[in-house]
Amino acid sequence: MNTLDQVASSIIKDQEKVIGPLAWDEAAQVTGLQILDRKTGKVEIVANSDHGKVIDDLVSQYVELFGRAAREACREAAAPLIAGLPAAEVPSSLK
Amino acid sequence: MPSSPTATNTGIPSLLSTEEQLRIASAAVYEKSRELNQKNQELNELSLKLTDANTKLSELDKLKSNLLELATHRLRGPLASIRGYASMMVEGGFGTDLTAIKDASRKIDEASTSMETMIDEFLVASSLASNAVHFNMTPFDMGGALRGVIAKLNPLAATKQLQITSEIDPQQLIVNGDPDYINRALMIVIDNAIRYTPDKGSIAIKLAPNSDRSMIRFEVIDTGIGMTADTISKLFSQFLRAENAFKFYVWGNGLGLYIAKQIIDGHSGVIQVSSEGEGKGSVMVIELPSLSPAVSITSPAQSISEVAPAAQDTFFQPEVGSPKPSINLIK
Repeated sequence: MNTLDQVASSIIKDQEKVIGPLAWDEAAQVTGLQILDRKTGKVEIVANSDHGKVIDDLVSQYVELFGRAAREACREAAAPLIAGLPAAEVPSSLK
Repeated sequence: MPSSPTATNTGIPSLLSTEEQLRIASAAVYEKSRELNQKNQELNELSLKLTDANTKLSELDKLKSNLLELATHRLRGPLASIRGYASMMVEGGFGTDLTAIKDASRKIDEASTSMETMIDEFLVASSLASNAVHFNMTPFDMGGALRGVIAKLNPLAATKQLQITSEIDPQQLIVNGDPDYINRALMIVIDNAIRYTPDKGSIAIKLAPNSDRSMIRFEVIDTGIGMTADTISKLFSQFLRAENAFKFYVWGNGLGLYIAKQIIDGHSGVIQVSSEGEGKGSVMVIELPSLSPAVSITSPAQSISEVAPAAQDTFFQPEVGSPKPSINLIK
């Protein structure tokens, strides 16, 4: 898994702690994101897609349902992983 | 005439309102759920800490019980000896035989000294086991410390007419440690060698840097009672006494080498023992990280002035037929 794959996995797993399996159902609706294994949390962003946009869409999916608090939760979940990324590569929803 | 559709009778505004209300409620539930999740994580962390603390308390409680059991059991021996001899003296059991009275007094003294040592070791072992000991680390010369320990134990060796040789590297052998505790560890190891070596046996003590000079190596080789592989594997446990040890020193408490190991471990050192079997002697080795000789020594008690100017062997050779062996220094 590359860094943004890990970011997606971390966000979903963190959401799962709050809303349960619904977190995976919502993630499954994001175009360009493949859920490979719910148990291990393995996900993959499809190679030819815009990786940053996929992350933004994932965050939006939760924000639409649960409001701004969901965005904060996503940022907290991703923070340790995006700390090492160049600013240009950080998805706008996590800035 | 049919009425035209209005916002009220289509119900659209109320539907939108319900959707909006659901969204707000959903966000509120989410936030509460998130808060609960965070609290749950904090609770889990606290629970883990509590479990850890509980385990440590259980271990301490077990140690305390062991110490208490051992104290009552092991202290009973010398206490019975003291009471027995004291009672005989009071009842006049020795009559006017001054030699017998002197002998009984000496046994009382020996038993009370061993009780004092046992109590001291119980307390030290208990403190070390519960991590209540703070080592006052300071650079000091291990050669000087070792000479002091040998000098203290020479009288004990003399009573058994043991031949003690020591080879202490003449240069400063600086380690960073707590001199009191390191002295105690050295004392325990040499004391053990003396106690468990039959009369007229020999003990060789060596102190020198190892081959790459990263460690100071202390070695005690004796012609003592030795031990089995099974005993070696448990030797540094609390309260262990080898079966053949009782014949040689009845008042031992099985804590000495446990204490020595705790001290050496606390100084990032290594303590090991080897023996070819019962009756074949043993070799005890302690290695401690060496400091550069350039490091200044802060403790005046172990200052360089106490270190002999040249290599010297303290040679302890008992004279045949003499209870007090002579001590020769050979350069």
